[in-house]
Amino acid sequence: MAQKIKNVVFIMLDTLQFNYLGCYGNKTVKTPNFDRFARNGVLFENAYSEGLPTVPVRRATMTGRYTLPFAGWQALSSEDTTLSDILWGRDVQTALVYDTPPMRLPKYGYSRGFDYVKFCPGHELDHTTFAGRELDPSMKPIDYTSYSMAYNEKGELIDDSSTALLEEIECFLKIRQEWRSEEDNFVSVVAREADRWLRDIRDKKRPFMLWVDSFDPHEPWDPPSIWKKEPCPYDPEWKGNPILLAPWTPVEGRITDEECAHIRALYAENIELVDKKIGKLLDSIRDQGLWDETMIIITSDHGQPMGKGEHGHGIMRKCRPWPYEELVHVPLMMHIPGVEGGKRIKGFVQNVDIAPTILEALGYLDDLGAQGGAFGFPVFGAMDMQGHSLLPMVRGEVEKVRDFAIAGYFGMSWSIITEDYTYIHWLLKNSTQNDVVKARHAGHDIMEDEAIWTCTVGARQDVPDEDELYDRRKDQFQLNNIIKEQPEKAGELLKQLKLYIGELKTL
Amino acid sequence: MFEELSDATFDGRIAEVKAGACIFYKQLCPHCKNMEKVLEKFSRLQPEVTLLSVDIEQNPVSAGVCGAERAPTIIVIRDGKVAGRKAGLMNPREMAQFFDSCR
Repeated sequence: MAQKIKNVVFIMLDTLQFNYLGCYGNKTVKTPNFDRFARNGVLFENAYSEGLPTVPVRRATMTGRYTLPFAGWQALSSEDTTLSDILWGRDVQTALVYDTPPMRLPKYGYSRGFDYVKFCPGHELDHTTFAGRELDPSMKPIDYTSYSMAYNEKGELIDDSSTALLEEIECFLKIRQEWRSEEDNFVSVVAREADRWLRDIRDKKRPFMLWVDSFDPHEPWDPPSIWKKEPCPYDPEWKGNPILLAPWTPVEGRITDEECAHIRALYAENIELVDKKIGKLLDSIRDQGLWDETMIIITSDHGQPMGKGEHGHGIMRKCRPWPYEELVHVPLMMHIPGVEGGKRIKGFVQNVDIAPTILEALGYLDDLGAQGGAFGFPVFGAMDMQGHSLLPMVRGEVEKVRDFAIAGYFGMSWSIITEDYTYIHWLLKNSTQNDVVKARHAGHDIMEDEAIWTCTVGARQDVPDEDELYDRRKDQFQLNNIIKEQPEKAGELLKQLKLYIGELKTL
Repeated sequence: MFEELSDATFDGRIAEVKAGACIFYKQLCPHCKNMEKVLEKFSRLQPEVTLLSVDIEQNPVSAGVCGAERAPTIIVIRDGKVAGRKAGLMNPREMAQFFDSCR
């Protein structure tokens, strides 16, 4: 890698499921910008997020440490050392431009250490910023979802999920009513603000690390066709209401197969918009002359369950802590100056590898310990990171950085993903995640409501009774459990998984 | 990364080491395997430190002299002498602090 990397742009696109992208084999969804980016760069075919969902993924990505053995959805602690902590007090200036609501509270810590922070309010879980606005009387939440998902045959709300669904839609419409064009969509705003920092705000004499965190294509599923009153290009025959949101529930008896398919079509169209807006940001990076000195990483935190079978194992949205392929396998693509494009790398990689990769690119990976800087101004190093820089694999110096990946929900599910098998071990059988959290943090009822892994009414901590084993070569999306046919293999994988979790607890 | 010592070589080799850490392990002990990884990470922080290892069951004399009854036990060597001993798992940060405290 003769060429010097001066800057890094890291782009996290929430809920971008890998197999909806052309470069990951999708034949329907149009993602020309992502596909071109992958074609001219490096694509990782087997990238997995380890601890799910949104918040632990951010912590793993920022700290380079696994979260699955340690903690789930909770604030960044003073024990954690993030990329921005390490880059603080160095020549690299850092910026965070984001609209990801679970990261929004400065008190929660995920904006810590960035020199510049721009939060763009309003996306899904931000139920407060615009709560005081009046909704236009012509806009009724029930017109933006299926009636039968909220009401029963007697015209009564079905359950708490119905109420939550309508409130969520109302909250979104209060913002949406003020949008006048595609330029007002969340991803458009985030991409534009990121570009504004690059063009007008940063110090052009210093190297930089820009973290762009777009909550799109996360639901609401509100692509342009809905507002143009045109058919969704991925489901043109649909006659029902648009489905901006659906309840967090199992789909059986609540959401029909056609409704699930329509949701997936709207989601695909959302991805098309994200592709376009991120494509525009990439063009701008090129136009500003930064392309040949800037490493760019595009990834996601997870996919999304949206129906039966390989679409979501029977659930809608992340209402169960189930680490199946459609959720935990993520896209990961990089543009690396000096590296020839067109590489597709098969070795297992995890989100914990991103921080070490960024640090190696910027020249700080070998700086391991906390150093007493002058006049009591310490700078921090990468000592605590458990991930591996991916640059040696990209350069062809090593074939792989690990033999397998892990994934799951803290305190509830662990899985191990090898080339041949996936094994899922259900931890939570007779306890709740709060029991686990309380046991670990005696005396601290840490964030009673927020220590949970998701913040919505319909989410329940239900897991199956029996562990599961799948043949990954024949059954990538885990539909045919073969644990009874291969109990010895299952036992071997469970042992390997437990030993690895033990190792991570030490390192 | 680890130089394996035996009862026959232990004393002579230790005497030559300026700064080192030696793990006393048992072959079937999973904690010992974890501790070896911790020491590998620690040695990235302190590349001048020599890493040594002794199989407790095969080398009862050295293990006895060093008081390495439990596996894993780590001894720190400074200027050819045993400068500290600690049994059980540590993380890399604790290992670095332990090493620094053995002066």
